[in-house]
Amino acid sequence: MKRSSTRGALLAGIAATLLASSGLASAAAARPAAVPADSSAIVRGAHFSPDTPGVDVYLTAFAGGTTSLWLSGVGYGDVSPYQRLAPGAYTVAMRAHNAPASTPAALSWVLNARSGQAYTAAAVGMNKQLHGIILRDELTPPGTGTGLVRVIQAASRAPQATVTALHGPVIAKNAAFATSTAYATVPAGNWPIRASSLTTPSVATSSDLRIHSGTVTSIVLLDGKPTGIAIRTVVDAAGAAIAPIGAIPAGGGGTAPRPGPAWAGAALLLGGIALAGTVGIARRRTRMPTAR
Amino acid sequence: MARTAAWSLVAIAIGVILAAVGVRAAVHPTSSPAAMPPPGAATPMATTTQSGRGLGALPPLPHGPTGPAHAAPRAPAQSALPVRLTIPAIGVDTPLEHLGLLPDHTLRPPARWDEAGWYADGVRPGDPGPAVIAGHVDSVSGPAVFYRLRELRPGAVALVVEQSGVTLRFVIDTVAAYPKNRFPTARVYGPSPLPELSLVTCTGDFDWNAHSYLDNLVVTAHVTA
Repeated sequence: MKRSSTRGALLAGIAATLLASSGLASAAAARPAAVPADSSAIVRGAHFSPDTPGVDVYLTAFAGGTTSLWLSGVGYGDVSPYQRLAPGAYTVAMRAHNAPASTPAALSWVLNARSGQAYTAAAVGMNKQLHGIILRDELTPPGTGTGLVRVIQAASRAPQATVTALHGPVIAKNAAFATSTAYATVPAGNWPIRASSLTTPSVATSSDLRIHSGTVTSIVLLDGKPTGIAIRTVVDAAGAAIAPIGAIPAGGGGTAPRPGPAWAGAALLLGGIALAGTVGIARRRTRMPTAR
Repeated sequence: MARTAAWSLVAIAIGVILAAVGVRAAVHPTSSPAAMPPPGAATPMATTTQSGRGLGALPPLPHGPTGPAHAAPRAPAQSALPVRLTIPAIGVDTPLEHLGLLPDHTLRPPARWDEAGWYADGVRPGDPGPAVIAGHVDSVSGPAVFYRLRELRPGAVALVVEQSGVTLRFVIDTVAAYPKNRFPTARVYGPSPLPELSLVTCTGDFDWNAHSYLDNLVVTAHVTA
């Protein structure tokens, strides 16, 4: 009798463990998958054409959207604030400032805005070669203690320009007018930077670049007023200077189900098996009363 | 024999009750991700260029009345320190402790069960970038400050009161659970062009040996004017 109960408990324990683990598995399966991205894209507009007057910028969604005036009176060197946008394909159109929306666009190009991404829609080049580009703005975290920096080369007076951090990295080497470089990693800190034209080294300018850890920055190289070239710095994105490692422990377990179900399952099976065992032994006993 | 049978019945009854509790725990919602849009058409990594005037394959621009210009909210250069978080939809109203890093570079959780904390070495709410506020889902004995965070749905509002008295309004975008061994660090702490807020607590199954929940619940929100 005692042995039988012990064996029953053992079996029940195994069964309960199986039950509990299968229960865990189903609970895990029932949990919805994580959502990796935000439901919107982020976009800003910019005017990088030195001899093009102020423009108005319009956005039209491919998906049956109406045209809406996005930015008004954007001049050379202007970079708009970022704005959230439903993901999808858009036409970006530019008209002369205050030109009626019904007039043909002076320039239009396509923006494929993806969820969780950031973009700069810019008009670049001299007016005769004016064209629209879409820059993808980096949102990948830079390494700890560093920032990411690129150069948007919009200075026609420096057909090829080099941008260097003093005693630091070369951020752009011979970048052509109307192009943008890839992002370079720059250690956090205050950097004196110098930009100069490859063909005419006297066409040059200096500035200070402040890089915070975890940030993403664009250096915009522009034609100066009235001469020379100028540097403008815009922050593309900011993140935590130091990202904590790993997950966040934020619960004491006071509302979590106690490890009861497995125990109860064991009790259930133990009970059932004990019952069956008891009956079985009782039967055996009645049949073979003198076996032992 | 009768006594054994009776004990068996009691055990069965307890088993049934506890099994029911277990099932309830298993189906307890741990997260509710917002609908995710299907991935869009492939976008070239660097730049796409389209010449002006020669509009080529572009669809004609619809004419007619235009909508108003969207005034994008410009983030203040430096927001004041956050002192309080309220989430009316789930009855949260808590002062904010300042959280930092532990020696092992993990985030130090809030000291109190009933108060949330802001990661003070990160981004301030209202500044461009992702601000992070963490709170416990429960104490060792019952619900804690972020117990009802899992009930939040996209569109709900979270308010952060600054030391300056200014109240920032955030709108919930996503509510999702992540296994702790796959915590979305880049998403929670990585660069963002606009002011964002992540609210983080625990969820999922509780590991009674490690005395820790297996998942984090991450609620993301964006600032509105």
